[in-house]
Amino acid sequence: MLNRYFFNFLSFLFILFIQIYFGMVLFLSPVLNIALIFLIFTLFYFPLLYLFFLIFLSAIIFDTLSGLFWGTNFIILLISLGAGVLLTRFLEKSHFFSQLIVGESIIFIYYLCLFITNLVLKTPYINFIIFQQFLITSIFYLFLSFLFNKIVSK
Amino acid sequence: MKQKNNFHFIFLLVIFTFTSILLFNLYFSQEKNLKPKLVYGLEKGGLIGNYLFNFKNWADDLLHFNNLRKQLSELKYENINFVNQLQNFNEIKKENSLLKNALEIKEETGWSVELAKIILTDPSGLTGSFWINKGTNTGLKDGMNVILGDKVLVGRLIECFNSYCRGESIFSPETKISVEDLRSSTLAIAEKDIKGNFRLRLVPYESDIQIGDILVTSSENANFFKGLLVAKVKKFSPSSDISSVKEFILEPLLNFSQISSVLIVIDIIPNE
Repeated sequence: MLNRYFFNFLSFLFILFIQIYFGMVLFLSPVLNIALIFLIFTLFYFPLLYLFFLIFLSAIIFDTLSGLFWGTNFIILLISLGAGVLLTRFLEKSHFFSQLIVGESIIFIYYLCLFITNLVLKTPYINFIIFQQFLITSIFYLFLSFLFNKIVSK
Repeated sequence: MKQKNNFHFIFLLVIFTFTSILLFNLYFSQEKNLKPKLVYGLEKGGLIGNYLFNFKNWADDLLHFNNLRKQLSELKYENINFVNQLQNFNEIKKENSLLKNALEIKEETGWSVELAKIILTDPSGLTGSFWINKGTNTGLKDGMNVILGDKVLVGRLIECFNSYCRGESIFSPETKISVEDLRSSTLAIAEKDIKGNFRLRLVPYESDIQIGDILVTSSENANFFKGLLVAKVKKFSPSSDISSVKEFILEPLLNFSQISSVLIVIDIIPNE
C-alpha cells in the first residue's frame, strides 16, 4: 500500500522535474502540461487528500515560477480538479470512457480558467497560446488514456 | 437517525470550511517565504536539469535542421557585409580618436553591471518570467534592466529576495517597447500581436524603415533605458487597418538558447 504512494510520489517529482526543466522557455510558446495530466490520473486511482497534497505542491511550483499573481495556479488547479471530483460522483471512475470525459473536462476547465484570467489581466493575445496548450495537452491525454487502456486490457 | 446524519454533515462542513480558510490563509501569507526557498531547492537540482535542457535544445535543433542550414547561409552572407562595413568603420574610428585627442574629449564610462546566471524560467510558457541567482545581497533592486554582454535587452527585474531575483523578459505580456531605428532614427512602438510575434506598430507611411534595420530602445521608455538592442526588422506586414500607417514584423535579437548568463545594470534604474 505504502509502496504505491511512494512510487506515485516519486513519479510526480520526476514529472514536475521534466515540466520545469524541459519546458524552460523565455519565449511565450505552447507547452505540454504533463503535471496536469499526472494529477488527472492520480484523481482516478488515489484518495482526495493525497491529490490535494499534490495539487498544493504543484501550485507552489507554478505560482513561484510563473509571473502570474500568487495563488492563481492554486485556485485554477483547485477549480478544475474540484470539478473533476464532482464529475466522478456521477460517472463511473474506473471506466475508460468516463475517465476520458472527466479528464478532458478537467483540461478544458483548467484552460478556460487561464483564458478568463488573461482576459481579466487584459493580455488577450496569449489566449491563442493557451488554446494551443489546451489542444496539445488534451491530445496527449487522449493518447495516454488509450495507451493506458490498452495496457490494462491486456 | 436522520437528525444524526444532518448533524454529521454540518459538523463535517464546518471542519471543511475551517480547514479551507486556514489553508488558504497559510498559502497566501507565505508567498515571500515559499518563493526563495523553492527556487533554492530547484537550483540545487539544476545540474541534472541543465542536461535535460541541453537535450531539449539538441532535439529542437535536430527537428529544425533545414531552418538552421538556411539561417547559416544567411549569416555567412551577412558576415561578409559586416566585414566590408568594418573596413569603413575603421577609418571613421581613427578619425574619431584623432578628433577626440585634438578636442580633449574624455571617454564615456560604461554602466556598472553585475553578472548573474538564469537558473529557472516559467514552465507554463505564458509569462516569460525567469529567476537569476543574485538578489538584494549583491545590491540588485526591482526595476533594474537585464542585458546580455553585447547590450541586447533581455528584460527587467520585477521582484528581489536576498539571494534571488525574478525578472520578466521582453516577451512577457503587456510589454511595449518604444524603439528607434538606428539607420533612419524613426521612432515606433514594438509590441506583441495575437500570435505572440513582435510587431512594429504605428509607423508613419513616409518613414524610412527597411528590412534588416536594427532597432534600439529609445529615450521614451518608462522601463528601459536608451540604446539597448531590441530587434531586427524582418518583413513588411500588410495587415495594418489604417492606410496612413504601416507595420513590420520583427525578429528579436534575444536568443534564449544562448543566454545562461546575463548582466544586470546596477547604477541606473529607469523611472526611479
